[in-house]
Amino acid sequence: MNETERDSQLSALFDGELEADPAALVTRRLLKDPALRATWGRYALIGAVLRQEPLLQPAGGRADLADRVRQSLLAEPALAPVAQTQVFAPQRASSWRRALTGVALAASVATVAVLAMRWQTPAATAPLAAQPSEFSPVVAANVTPPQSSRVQSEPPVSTSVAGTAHSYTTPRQAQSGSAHLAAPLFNYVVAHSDYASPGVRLSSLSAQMSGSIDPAENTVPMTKDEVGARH
Amino acid sequence: MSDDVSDLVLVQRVQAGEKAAFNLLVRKYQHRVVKLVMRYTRQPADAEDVAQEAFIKAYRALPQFRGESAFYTWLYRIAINTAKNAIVSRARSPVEYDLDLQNTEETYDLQSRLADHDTPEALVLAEEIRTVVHQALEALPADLRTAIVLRELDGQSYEAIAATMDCPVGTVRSRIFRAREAIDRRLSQVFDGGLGRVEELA
Repeated sequence: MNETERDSQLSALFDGELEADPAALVTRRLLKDPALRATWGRYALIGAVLRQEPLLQPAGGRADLADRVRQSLLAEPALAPVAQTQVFAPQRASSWRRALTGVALAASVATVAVLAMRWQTPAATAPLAAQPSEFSPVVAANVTPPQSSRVQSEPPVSTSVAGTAHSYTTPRQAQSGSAHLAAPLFNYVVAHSDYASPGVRLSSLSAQMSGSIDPAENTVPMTKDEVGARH
Repeated sequence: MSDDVSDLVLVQRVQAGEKAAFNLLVRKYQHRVVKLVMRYTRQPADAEDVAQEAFIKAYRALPQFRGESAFYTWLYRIAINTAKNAIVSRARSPVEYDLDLQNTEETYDLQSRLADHDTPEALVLAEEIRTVVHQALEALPADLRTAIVLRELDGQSYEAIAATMDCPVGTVRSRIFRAREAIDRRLSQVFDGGLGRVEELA
């Protein structure tokens, strides 16, 4: 490649008008070649003059802005290499993974919901109702939605029935054994419906709705922390 | 296509641990960021300090940048937030600060404000650079001048310029390059050791 073609590609790179592969190639050269970097700086300067932007230069004994930033970053650790597929992964691949995860999650919840509905026969309700203090906290802990990685380090909001925090996912008080058990499950499905396909979401919700439970009666407003953790 | 591609290539290099690539992003956007920040700070020296802080914040935050928006859009938000925080900090300080948020969008006479900050030599050099660039621009053939103006002033893509000038995209690319080359040739003669000099990158 001759010098003219090289500079032509540099000009196109500067404008973001070079395809990805040649852009990567020219960038490698740019980082190695001080003369190309100087040309890059002058291209930026030409644009700044045409747009009537302030011209930044060494003044009053201090370096120009770019040099000051560079000097400041000398003390900074280099960024840890990251997998590029993670950083700029196509959205489609991410959606596939999310959809599969959602289906698996929704299927698990639906199974648990069906089992729970079977437990709510008159024969099964009595023992459950007789031991609410032992059962409730366990259920409440299990239905706490997983938080995003951003907030995982934060202390979880208590969803215990005996706790004071108000939550959509946990009733204030158990009205009966069946409502107590099903409402959290219903809300758990709703809380995770974003991750499920519409079909799975519908079937899971239908399974819950087929019972005589109105979960709205057993819900209280979600706290700010919970809203933030879920969205 | 937009600045995204080349910026993302540079961003990926920085994210891979290559600091020098970040300096190229700073050189590309420093003038634009300072002009943006001056809407808030008004003082050139303050604007440069805020811009410097914004670039450093951007560097530290780059691991979280996922390319969901253009790099400059992302940088723009950081710069604005940094400028606003600087205003708040100054408002708390006992030193009176001249601030009129009603006029943040107006265009200032940047050169007159820069005069408070720059040395006479720097101002002479800046004026000389402006003169040379504009003279070189005027000396360009009309098609080259139109192409570079549409790109640099209007920010149009090559494809849009091709549509405007009724020519292939490859011709636009060639015209813009030849325009830059002609201006750069004149510009290179102006300074030695000044703006755009060969600097040692980290």
